[in-house]
Amino acid sequence: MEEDVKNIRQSFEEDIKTANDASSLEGLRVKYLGRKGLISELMGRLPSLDKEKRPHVGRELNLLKKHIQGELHEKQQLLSSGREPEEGKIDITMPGILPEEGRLHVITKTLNEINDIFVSLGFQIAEGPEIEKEFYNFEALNIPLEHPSRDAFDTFYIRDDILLRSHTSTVQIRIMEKVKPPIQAIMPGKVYRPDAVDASHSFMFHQVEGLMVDRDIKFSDLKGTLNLFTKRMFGEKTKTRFRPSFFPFTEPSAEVDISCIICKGKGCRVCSHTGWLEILGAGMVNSAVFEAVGYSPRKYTGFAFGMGVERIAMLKYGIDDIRLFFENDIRFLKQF
Amino acid sequence: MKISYNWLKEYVDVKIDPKKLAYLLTMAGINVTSCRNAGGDYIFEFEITSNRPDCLGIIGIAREVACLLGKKLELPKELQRSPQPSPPSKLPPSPRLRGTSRRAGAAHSQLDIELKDPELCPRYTARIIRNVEVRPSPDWLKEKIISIGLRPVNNIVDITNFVLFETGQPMHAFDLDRIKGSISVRRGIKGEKIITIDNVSRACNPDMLVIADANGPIAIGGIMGGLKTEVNKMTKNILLESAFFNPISIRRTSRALGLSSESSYRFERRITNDMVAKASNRGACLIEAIADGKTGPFIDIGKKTGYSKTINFDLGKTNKILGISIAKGKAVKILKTLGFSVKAQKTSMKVTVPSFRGDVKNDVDLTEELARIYGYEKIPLTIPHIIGNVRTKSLISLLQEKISQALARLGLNEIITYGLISKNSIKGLGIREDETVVIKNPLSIDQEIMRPTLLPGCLNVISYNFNRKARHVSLFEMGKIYREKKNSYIEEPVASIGLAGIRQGNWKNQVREFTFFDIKGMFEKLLEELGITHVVFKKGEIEGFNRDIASTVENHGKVIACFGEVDKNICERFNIEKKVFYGELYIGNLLERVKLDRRYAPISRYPSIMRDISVILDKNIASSEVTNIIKEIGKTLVKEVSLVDCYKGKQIPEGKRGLLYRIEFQSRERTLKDAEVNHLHSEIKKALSEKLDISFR
Repeated sequence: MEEDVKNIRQSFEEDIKTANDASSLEGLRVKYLGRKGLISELMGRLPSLDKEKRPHVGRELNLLKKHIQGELHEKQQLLSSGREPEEGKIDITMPGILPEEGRLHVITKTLNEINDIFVSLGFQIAEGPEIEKEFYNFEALNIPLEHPSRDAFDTFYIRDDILLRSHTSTVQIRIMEKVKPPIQAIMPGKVYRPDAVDASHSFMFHQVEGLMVDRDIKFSDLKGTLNLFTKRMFGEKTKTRFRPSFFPFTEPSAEVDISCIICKGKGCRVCSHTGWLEILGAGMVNSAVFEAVGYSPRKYTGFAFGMGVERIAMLKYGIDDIRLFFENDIRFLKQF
Repeated sequence: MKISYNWLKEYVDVKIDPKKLAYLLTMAGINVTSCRNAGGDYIFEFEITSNRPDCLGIIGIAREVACLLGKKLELPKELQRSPQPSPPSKLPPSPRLRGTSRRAGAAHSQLDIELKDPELCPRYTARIIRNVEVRPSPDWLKEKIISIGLRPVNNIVDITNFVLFETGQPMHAFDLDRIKGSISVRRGIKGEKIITIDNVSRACNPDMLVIADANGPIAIGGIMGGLKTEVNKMTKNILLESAFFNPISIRRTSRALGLSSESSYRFERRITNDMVAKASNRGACLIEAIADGKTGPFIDIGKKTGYSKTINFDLGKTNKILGISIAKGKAVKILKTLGFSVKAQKTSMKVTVPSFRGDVKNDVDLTEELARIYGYEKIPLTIPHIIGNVRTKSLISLLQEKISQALARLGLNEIITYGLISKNSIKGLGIREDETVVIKNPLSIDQEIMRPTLLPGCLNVISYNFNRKARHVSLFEMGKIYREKKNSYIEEPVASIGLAGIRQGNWKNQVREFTFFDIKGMFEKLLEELGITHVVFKKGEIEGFNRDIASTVENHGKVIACFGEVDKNICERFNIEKKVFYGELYIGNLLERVKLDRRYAPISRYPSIMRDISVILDKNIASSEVTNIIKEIGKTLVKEVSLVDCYKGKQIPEGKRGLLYRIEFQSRERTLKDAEVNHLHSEIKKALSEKLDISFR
């Protein structure tokens, strides 16, 4: 008798696997649970069992009945809801259900990368206002009024003495006015210049400024620091070259080039066949700037540098049009 | 500026590969942007920084080359010594000398020159050259003119250009016979006009310097000559001008007229006063040689002395700041070949700056000179003694980072839009005009004001993407908004969220449109993430939003956010037909409330019990009222109340709605008994029916 219960269970497990429509399910119901079904039949034979065995087998039989009822019900539910009949039978070539995800803007991503590198070198992150006094944008940085060196810094004005900063160097002055050396900070932010918009110009873009001031800060420190930065940002094999240049607020000044990351220095369209890409302006803080903030140039030296975030992102990700950053096409945003 | 290699060779004995020379110059700060093979010659293109006007002439470049290659600079003899002005005795009879004025013998009679404004023109020289033959230049001169990218005109004009590019000193030649009466170097007079050689009539004013004759201006000093006195084929006698014009005045005039020339470019950057007379001499000699002219007297009015400076220079300090050690002998040699004179003393040196290096004012400038010739590439790489900072980020930037990450996790894509927008784009948003920050000099109407809200930027992006067939747009931006208040400017950090179109659907899950509750959920989740509790969502009529579908979010009485469905009319203005849900989080108002630290809360070991409660209530009763009562009665035993269904339909009377809440009861201390929960549940029901117009299903 107990053997029969086991057999019925086994045969049901086999049957249910192949029953994939309503009629075959009904067939199974009749076969197992029907008035003349297998369960009823065994039930009918119960009284003929030994008294000791009867309760046990009865319980087993009831459990089996419940099990079959449950299974049939579940299968029916499955079929009527149109879901996949069995885990084993799905079409695994159908596309996965993708979780909805959002992306940080590629400029934010690039900024974060830059910030993280400098933070790991002990730099602090500081910010300053975008609407700025003319003094901070020019005079304090040793850019005199009506001097040709202002040509590089056309500006949006709000009032005669209030403008939209055209570089983040303004924040250098604000920091130095507030605290005494040692200073080791980077200053990311938006800057504005009235340039007509085209593939390589935008009237708004992002810069990261860097400043380190203390006793005995040397030009070689500037080289060492930026060399570390470019290697971490663009890869270990990146070469860095420092070229003398001119900025009113640093002296000596340098343009910093990296070996072209596209052609590896062989010369290509991106680097105008020079093998080098200009990515940073830098130099030792001009003593005139120290004097403007009340530091003694005899006591302190320091270096400063600045870079355009869009340019770095364009080089790093192979983006060829600066307008893409601000059009915010979702197909663009999703790529980074 | 373009320079020919062959021409350069006339001043310095250079034999190396031009490409190599271009590299050496670039690495010394004289940036060569291209070096092009042009037949038997090479053309260098330079980008000279604004501090080095001395390199705006081929001689300046030759001096750098000589220094870099250890060669000697060879100058034509006219440029080696300044000519002396003609002594009065050599002038025609009875010269009238008035103050700052001198008279030159002219072709027929006499010519008076009066320097009336020594501020705008510190020095003015002129030389009369008679009986010139104006004709095309000889080939060698034409070639040179073409090599630097100019067009040959005639021998006189070509010579002035030649001298300009050779010495950096601009020159101008007037047709002497067309000058009426005496010459006055003065400020323009309002109402005066001049037709310049580009055939444009230009109005003069007292801010600009003009060269005038009896009939009015014949040149805008240092910028462009006048058409009337232009040298042409018929010209017989000329007046050759070489002067020092005030850089600021030239720059102002050039900007005001929108007129920039090779001359103005150099005057703006300050020419070398020492070169004024020498270059004139050079020009005159060439005119004699090429155009058969006969040089007459030379008039030189104004300041003769050039820039001079002596600097005490401490090489030890320079070596320290650069992180190198240049030997004294080497330093002296570098400075000397650059034209400095050096008197070495025991510990320091006295360095005298040559007049053409007005950019060198102090010891740091000399440091730069040494560094760039010594070679930046030879300066080692060192790591600064790291100072390090305890706090690397301000709370606000930390918070912004946190919010950005959270919003990206919620499936939103970050956008960055312009800080400048058009005035038109904020219409209907209830923004006070006196508080908007207006740009004085926008380039277009899209840059008129600083944005007082992130909404227009967001709508532009939604519109842009819908136009490109996007169906699902979910965005956020982290940026500043700007306000003017009593002459001070406020920049406030804000996060914005924008949802429009459909939620992303797939083959398994049905597509549906975004609703108000999608954006509400985002704000709830975000605030939870920031650890901000006690948040009250208040229905609010907010300008720019649909009156019925907008909410403010308050925390301890402060509005920290608002969101809702954007007004249809505004969407239409941005060409958006679909519904847009938008909100802003005012980060500045959160700073004190934010709790980014997390602490572990023990998970109850006792099972929880669920009970559903289904209510029918008036449409005007807020769901939050029901949940508040449930929590109030249930106290600590109610772990969570969630709304699981909301229905209308046949069974629900008009003006009412049905809500199904699921309450999770749980204790931290013990297993709750059924009877206890049942009792609590009926207490809740009782309170609900007492306090609200409500019935149960």
